[in-house]
This record gives sequence, structure tokens and C-alpha cells, in this order.
Amino acid sequence: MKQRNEQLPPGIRGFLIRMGQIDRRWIYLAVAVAIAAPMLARLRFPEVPGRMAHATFDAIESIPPGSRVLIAYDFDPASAAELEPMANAVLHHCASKGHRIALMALWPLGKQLADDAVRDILLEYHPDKVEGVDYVQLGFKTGNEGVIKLMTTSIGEAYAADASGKPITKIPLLEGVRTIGDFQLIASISAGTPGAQQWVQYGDSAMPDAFKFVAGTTGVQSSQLLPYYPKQMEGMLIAIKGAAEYEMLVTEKYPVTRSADRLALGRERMGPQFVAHLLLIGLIVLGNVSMLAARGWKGAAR
Amino acid sequence: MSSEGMQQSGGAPKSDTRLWIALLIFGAVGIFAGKVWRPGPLAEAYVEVVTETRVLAEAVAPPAAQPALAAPSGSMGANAPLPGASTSEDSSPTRVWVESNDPRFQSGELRRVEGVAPEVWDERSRVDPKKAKEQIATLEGDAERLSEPTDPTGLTQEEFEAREAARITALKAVESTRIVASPRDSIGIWVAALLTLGIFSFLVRDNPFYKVVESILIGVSAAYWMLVAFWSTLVPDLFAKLAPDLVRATMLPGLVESEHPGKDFLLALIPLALGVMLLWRLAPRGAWIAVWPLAVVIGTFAGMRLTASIEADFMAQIAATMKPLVAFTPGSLEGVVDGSVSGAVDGVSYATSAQGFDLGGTLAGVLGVVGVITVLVYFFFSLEHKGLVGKTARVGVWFLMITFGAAFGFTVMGRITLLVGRFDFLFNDWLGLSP
Repeated sequence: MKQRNEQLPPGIRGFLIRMGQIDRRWIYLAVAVAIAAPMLARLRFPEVPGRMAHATFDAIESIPPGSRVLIAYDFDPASAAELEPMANAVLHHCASKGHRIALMALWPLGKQLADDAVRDILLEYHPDKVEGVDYVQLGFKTGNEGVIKLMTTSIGEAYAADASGKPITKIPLLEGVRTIGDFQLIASISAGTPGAQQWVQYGDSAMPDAFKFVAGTTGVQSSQLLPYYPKQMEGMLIAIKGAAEYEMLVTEKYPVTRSADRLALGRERMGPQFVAHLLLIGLIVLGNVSMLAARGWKGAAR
Repeated sequence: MSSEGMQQSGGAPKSDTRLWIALLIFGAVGIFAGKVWRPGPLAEAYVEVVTETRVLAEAVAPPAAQPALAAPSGSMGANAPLPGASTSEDSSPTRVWVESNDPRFQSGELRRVEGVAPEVWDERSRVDPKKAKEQIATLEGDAERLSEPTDPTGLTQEEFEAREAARITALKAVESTRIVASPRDSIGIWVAALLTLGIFSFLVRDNPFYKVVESILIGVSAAYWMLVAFWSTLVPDLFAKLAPDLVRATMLPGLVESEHPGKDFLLALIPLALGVMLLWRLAPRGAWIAVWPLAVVIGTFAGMRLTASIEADFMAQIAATMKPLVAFTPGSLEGVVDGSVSGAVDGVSYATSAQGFDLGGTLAGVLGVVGVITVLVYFFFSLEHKGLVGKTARVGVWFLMITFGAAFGFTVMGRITLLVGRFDFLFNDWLGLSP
């Protein structure tokens, strides 16, 4: 390194070239600082809800109170940082609106996350909700997209009983429910396969117009799902940004008086996101400037 | 790892030393400042303990009509019931431990099993440390207030007794709710924090700590998925159909009785046979047998996906691409009559009338159509990409690049959020720096 530095041209050009060769671990450290500092300082920025957040909000808002809503927790703890805020907000929104909520999971650990949400969100903000009447936990079912396909013909074939062992025929909330077409809205909080795409392919396509479908997705998955919006998906929340915008809409209309931080996770996580994005943009610019500065320098080929 | 530090041999490279020092200073200053700013113990965990008295009960109705006792398929795996749910099964399929005040005793669905003593169960659920401290303070205040006997001054005997009874009931309720520090959960937080730091340490360089954590992750993941597959698929979907009584006696005491056991048995033979054939590839001879079940799997999956993809990803996408090239806002159509309205797409009405021109909608429509056509031309390899075709394909490449850029941007956002989530855990759950 020392020998190479001696060959660098003097002045700002040399500095820029040297920045282009910086050990990537310093960049990792800079990213860590860019995320840690705003988190500890609790840096927050106002969110302006976008079209997709509004569409998701309106879809849930437009169905009458008492409608049956199916929320699929199609993710696990690996994606919880990104998806849990929007899942919490969707659950609170549906409960506040008075919808009857069925929870299910196509991912094994999704059931545990849904249990946490029932305890920390549903029963925390809506302690009057009764299991079996206002909400039901169907649990995890193995079979990926096969489960969705099965539920288009018979929910009972996929779920004979809820997660606590009660047959679905004895659950008031599911009285008269034969297929997913008997739900007014389905929301999939999805981290991959099986998830929102499979709900569109095997659920929405099999029963178009039978129910409204909205999805919350990870950033990675979103570009795969965007073509489905708005024809095959009424609403779509993309990554933490979508969660933050949707949280804004939900808490503005349905504010909570206690444990409000549980419905502000998305907005909290946008602060470090903003600073980290600025850093990354700066690094991309710096990398390109450094590349241009190195043009014609004999050491550039290394 | 491209630094010159990795190219050196013998002793810690200079660059590594600088990084370790920077990391240690960063970490130490951060923790010290955090603890000065928000003092409190590390990895603080609390649980709410609710003590319940449970009794062994049995169903009054015959087993086929005992829905309340039925445990779901796979209940020993991913579908463990919610805390407090009374589904703990005894060895007998018709018996279950339930809360002593279970409403099913009143409705006649259940009756107590005589000769079995009640048991005291503790249900534990994690409580947010901040909330736990508030609740502890509230409970202590309530207990202190309720421990004072009712002042009889000015009360009749009946009023005094009624208030005393209410006070004692409330005191018992307060005393039965316990929110306590949980060393077990604290240890769990410490383990999770150290494992997280172990994974992060790879960013500095490969090291034994990372190797250990990586091995733990792989081992635990493999074991977990094997168990999930066993309890969620093999037990309920195969074993339970082939030998329901055996499974009920040994694995799933609450297995619901099938209405068509014979049909289930015969149908379960098919996947059993295919599974055995699939495993045949491990045998020294006849590995070709494994090809047949593979063909069934691929054929079934292809057939299932084909119809779904044609409908959802082909026909519906083509329809969604047919957007109006000139868009009008819906409000602008008020008063437009006699066939001037041509239709509506995605909530945006379009019309032959020039009122309320929607620039954004028009641009989106044009861009969508141009993008689809140019990208399709780029992937059309039957013609050489020269002349008009070449230029169109070039535009298609730009569309593709912008799409990849947007996808990368979303990926960056997602990855940063995951890092924020981990930092959130380290700062709040482990270091206790949350306000």
C-alpha cells in the first residue's frame, strides 16, 4: 500500500484515487455509524403517504365493518424487521374498523409471529376482542401454494381445526365460510415463496372479484410483485417505506393511547434508512469520481 | 476481502489492527455513553407469570364428536397453541388438562376425571421491560393500598363486609399476577447478542468466532427444518393416515378421527411408494427407480403452475398493459355525454373529450407501452439487432437497466432495514438503551 501510495498523483486527484481503493471494511464501519447514530438519536422524518399506501388503506377501509378478513403471515423472523411493522398496522387497522380477522401462515414461524401480534397488538389495543368471534388463529399449514389452491375449493380441507384444535365448523367467525371467496379481503404479508405472488396466481386468479387482495412485501420481492398492482392487487406496501406511510394513515384515523411505539416501528426505522441512503449515494458518487480521476493513471489497471 | 492486509502473512495485518481498534473504541464509547445516558442493566427481561389451577377432564360426548379436545395436525410442531390455550393432552386421547373454571364444564361438554389431583400451572409470557417496570410499580401500589383494612367509620355492617370482600378479591387478583425478572430470557438475549456479533465479525475478517457461529446457524437450521418437515408433513399427512391409532397413542394424542379412514389409508400409500422410490437412489442398484417419482413431482408441479401462470402472469398482464395512451382524470368527465366516454382503466377514465387532461396518467401509459414493446424487441433474437430493430432494442436495454436499478434500490432498502432490526435488538433488548 505504501509503495502504491508513492505512485499516486499529488493533490486532490491522488486523494480521490486513494478513496477509490479504500478498504471496504471502513465502509462497513461507516454504514454501522450511519445507522446507529440516528437510531440512538431517535431521528425521525415526516412521512407523506403515497398512492400504494392510500390504496391499501382504502381497500381495508372500503369494506363494511364486520367483514371477514384473512391475514396471511407469510414471513419469518429473518424478515420481521421489514414486515412486522406493516403486519402490525394492518392488524390494528382491521380490528379498529371492526372486521373479523382470520390469521394463517404459509411459513412455519409465521404462526408464532401472528401469535405475538395477537398478544401485542390485537389484545393490547382491542382487549374486547374475543377469540373465535372477532379473530381466529388458523396457524401454519404445510403445502405452500397447494394450501392456497385447496382453500379456493374448501378451507376445511386445508384447515380442519384452528391452531388451538377447535374444528372450524365450531368457530362462529368461520360460520358459512367454505372457500377463501367467502372472505371480503385477503392480506398477505409476504417475504418470498410462498407469499403474495402465489396468492395472486392461485387465489386471486382462481376467484377474480371474489375478494379484495392487498399485500405487504419486502423490498427485494417488490419488483417481482409490482406488475400485479393495481389490477390483481388492490394495494401494496413496499418494504419499510410502505409500512411507515401506512402506519401514518392508520394511526391518524385510529390513534392509540398506550404502547404507541408498536405502531411507529416503520417510521422509527426510516430515520436510519434516510442517513444510510445518503451515505450510500455519497459512496456511489465518490466511487465514480474516483474512477474518473484514476483514468490515465498508470496504477489504475491494478 | 481485497485489502493488502489479507495478502500479508504472519501476525495481524496493520489494516486489521486499525479496524479492530476502531470497532472496539466505537463499541465501548457507544455502550458507555448509552449506559450513562440511559442507565439500567443489560439484557433485561421480564415475564408475566399467571398461575392457573388445571384439572384433568374428559369429554362427555363420544370421541368423534369431541371437537374441543382435538389438537390440530402438527400441533407439536409449528402450531403450538397460544399461551393460555388449554390443549395440553394427557396420554389418553379423550382426556385433557383444562382450567378448573373452563366453561365447557358448565355446558356439559366436559367432566372432571375423578381421583386425579388438580395441578398448578404457570403460564409465562414476555413483557416489554419498560411496561413491566410500570406494571410492577402499579401492582406494588395496588397491593399496598389493598392490604390496608377497610375503614369501618360511617359504614353499616353490610357495607363494610361488602367492601372488605371486594378488597380481598382485588388483593388476591393483584397477588396472583406476578411480573418478575427472567434470568432464563436474559441468558437467551445474551446468547442471541453474542451470535449476532459473531456473524458481524466476519465483516472485519474471517475468524474462529464467526466459524463457530456459522456452524451453529447451519446446524440449528438443518435440525429445525427437519423437525418441521417431520411434524408438519410426515406425521399428519402420512403416518396419521397409515396408522392413525398408533400415531394417536404415540405422537398426536388429539388427532382428529377421519371420516374416511380406509380411503385415507389407500391414498397415503401413493406418496409412501413414491417416497420409497425416491430414496432408492441411495441403494447400490436401481438408481433409475428414483427418476419416476421425480417425474411425478415435476409433472404435477408444472401442470399446477402452468395454468396459474397463464392466467395470472400472462393473460392478466397483457390486459393490464393495455392502457390508454391519452388519460383523463375521472372528475373531468362530468357533463360529458353521448358516447364521448370510451371506458375506464385502473380507475382512470379516458374519453374522446379533451377535458381534464391527465399528464401523469398519459406519460405512465405511454412509458408502459413503449417499455413493453422495446424490451420485447430486445429479447427477440430471430432478427439481427441492427437498424430500427437495434435502436429499439437499445431503448429496451435502458428500460431494463432502470428496472434493475430500481430493484437494486429496493434491495438496499430491505437490507438496511434488516440491519436496523438487528441494531434495534442490540441497542434495546441487549443494551437496554431504549428510552
